[in-house]
Amino acid sequence: MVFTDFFYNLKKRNVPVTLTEWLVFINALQRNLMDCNSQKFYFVARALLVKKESYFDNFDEAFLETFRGVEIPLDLKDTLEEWLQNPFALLQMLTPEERLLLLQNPIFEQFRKNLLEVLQNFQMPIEPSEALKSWLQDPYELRRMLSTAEIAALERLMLEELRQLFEQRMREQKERHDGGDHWIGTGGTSPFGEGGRHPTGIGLGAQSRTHSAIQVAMKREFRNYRSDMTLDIRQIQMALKKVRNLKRTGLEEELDLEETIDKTCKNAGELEIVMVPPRKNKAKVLLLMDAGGSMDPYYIMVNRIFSAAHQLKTFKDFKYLYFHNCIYDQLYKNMAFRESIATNELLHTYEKDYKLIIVGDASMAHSELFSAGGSIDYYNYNPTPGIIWLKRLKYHFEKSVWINPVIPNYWYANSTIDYISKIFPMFHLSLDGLDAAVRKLL
Amino acid sequence: MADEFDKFQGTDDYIVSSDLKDIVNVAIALQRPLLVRGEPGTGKTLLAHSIAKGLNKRLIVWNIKSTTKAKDGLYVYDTVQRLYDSRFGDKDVSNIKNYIHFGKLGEAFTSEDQVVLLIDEIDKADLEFPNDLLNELDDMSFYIYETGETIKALQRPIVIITSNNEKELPDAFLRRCIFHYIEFPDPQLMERIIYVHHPNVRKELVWQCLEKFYKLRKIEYLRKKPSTSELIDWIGVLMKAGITESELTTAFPFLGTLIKKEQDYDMLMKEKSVIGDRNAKSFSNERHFF
Repeated sequence: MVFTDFFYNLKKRNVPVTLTEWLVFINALQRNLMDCNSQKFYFVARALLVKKESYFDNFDEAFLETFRGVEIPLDLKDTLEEWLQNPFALLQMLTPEERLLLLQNPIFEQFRKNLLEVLQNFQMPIEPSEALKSWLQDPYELRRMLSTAEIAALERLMLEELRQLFEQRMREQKERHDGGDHWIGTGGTSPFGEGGRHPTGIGLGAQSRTHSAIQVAMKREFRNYRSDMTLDIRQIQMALKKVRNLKRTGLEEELDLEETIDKTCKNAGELEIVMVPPRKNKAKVLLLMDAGGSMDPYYIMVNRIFSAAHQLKTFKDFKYLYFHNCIYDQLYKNMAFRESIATNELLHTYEKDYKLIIVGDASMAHSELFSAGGSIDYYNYNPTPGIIWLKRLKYHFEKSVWINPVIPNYWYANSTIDYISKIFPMFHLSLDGLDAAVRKLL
Repeated sequence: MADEFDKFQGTDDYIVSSDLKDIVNVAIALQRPLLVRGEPGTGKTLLAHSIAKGLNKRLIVWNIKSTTKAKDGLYVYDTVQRLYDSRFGDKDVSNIKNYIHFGKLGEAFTSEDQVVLLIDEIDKADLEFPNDLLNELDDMSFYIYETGETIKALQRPIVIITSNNEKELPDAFLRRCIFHYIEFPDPQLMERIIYVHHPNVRKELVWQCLEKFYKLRKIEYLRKKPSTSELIDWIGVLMKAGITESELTTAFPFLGTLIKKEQDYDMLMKEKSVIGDRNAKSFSNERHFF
């Protein structure tokens, strides 16, 4: 029994697994070190095949893809109950990109129709609340609440079982919430306890380990650890660490040969060793940020990251300025675009060993980039086109990078993003992108 | 080599999840180093202690500093000492072996019984450090250039390596290890951990403390989030001071046990909702933590 499908699924999901790790995995299987079809299999497989937690989520995806049909989802009722208790937890599990993808899935439409049919034929003990009706009417609501894996699993569930489950759930809700007709729980459930049943909070009873490996993988607990998605406010700490790599390492003392010889001679031949701490070469950073509307969520975050890094004394010097959409002959000291400094002056003030980091979506009308007077700021007619300014910056500073929050998939050929990426090395505003950008700057 | 492998079941003083137990046993069976990563305060170092205790083996600890070199773990040839000794003539300097001191890895190899070797906080060292150890970890042997000896491990040590999330480790090194990421304990696990350290604490106090603790951890603005050891200390302090859980609902005594950074502390003290004092200044509308 060889899980070659699993291996290829892992590679497809960008988990960096090689033959070495795979052979260890097979070896462990042969020696019966992990039982199949249980949680142990999942955790041991993960421990052997994935070496960085940023790939745990990719591993989960591959695992689900390979093993999803294998298990009989008898435990699915637990998942469904959990879901019904707190659908908002599921909401949080999806990224905006995933929600977009789900909207295109035709399975949802079918599921929604089935569900409506079932509920219509079914005599409810109490009137379904407006919330439930609107939930069913609005497919987008529903789509947002379920992951692809769950939808597929639900398909397999018999409609009859589903109906019984709803019936049971409805009754239970009525009892516990004392006649309230709110089907779906409200957003703020306590962080612990089983699905918020215990009002003061802590969970009761022993930890139950009845969940299957599939359920563990479906939880997708490690989604936040991924490093290839656009930077989110939750990842600021990690991003900060990447940026701090701009500080060079290797701070051990060195033998100062000259001084040692000198001192030894002065000591009439008695050996005297002199060590000297190395010179620290810290980077100087100039950060230019696009503060036009679409960049709002990003520039605050980026500024915060770099300011925090600066407070931690990562940089010898750190300056930041703003521009709107594209760089012209003025750069601004604050977001209100009041105080400005001429770009020419910047080129004279900052030496070429400053590391230039430009953060922007590089998205604008072609005229903004290529034409004189292209600046969208009516009052600041720019005689020199934006692209000339960009080139001037590029040639002045020895090392520069452009960081873009837009996903690389959308960097279409012949767009302004494309042209700008031909001037500055362009990186995505994600943890991986920041990593690569920092390496480029070193 | 026996097929049956040592079963690590955890020890009384260390709560370990069942998945971690399985992974430890697999690492021992496959004879590969176990790399454990996680936030500070999740019990990585204690894991190695627990493994040594649970398997009744000696524990050798190699604490890595930023200045540590891979060679130091193998052996050190103390040339300076030899030079000084030759100067003063009362020691036998002809035998190099007297000046070869084994590092922790060397110690582990030369031990007659199997030991547990803990390489603690490997990411503190230089980026190249793990790569320098690769061969030695694979072959379990190293060569002493000065004496021409090859030291081979008499018993293959069980190697546990811990890393904070400070730096990235090189891929070649990662490939050779079995990897586990210890997540920060969830409230249920945390409760059990607390009972190990404070067996006589009242349940209600624990629940209140846990609630406040996890809410604190959710605050994004904190420079340093409180960790497991700080929570345990805090509960100990509360118990000693005789604070009850009802007092905890309106105030936050001994906040300094949990929050170690001055800026965090100052910021939290200003927050009305944290310290529960109606007279406290309210910082701003957007920051409502509780």
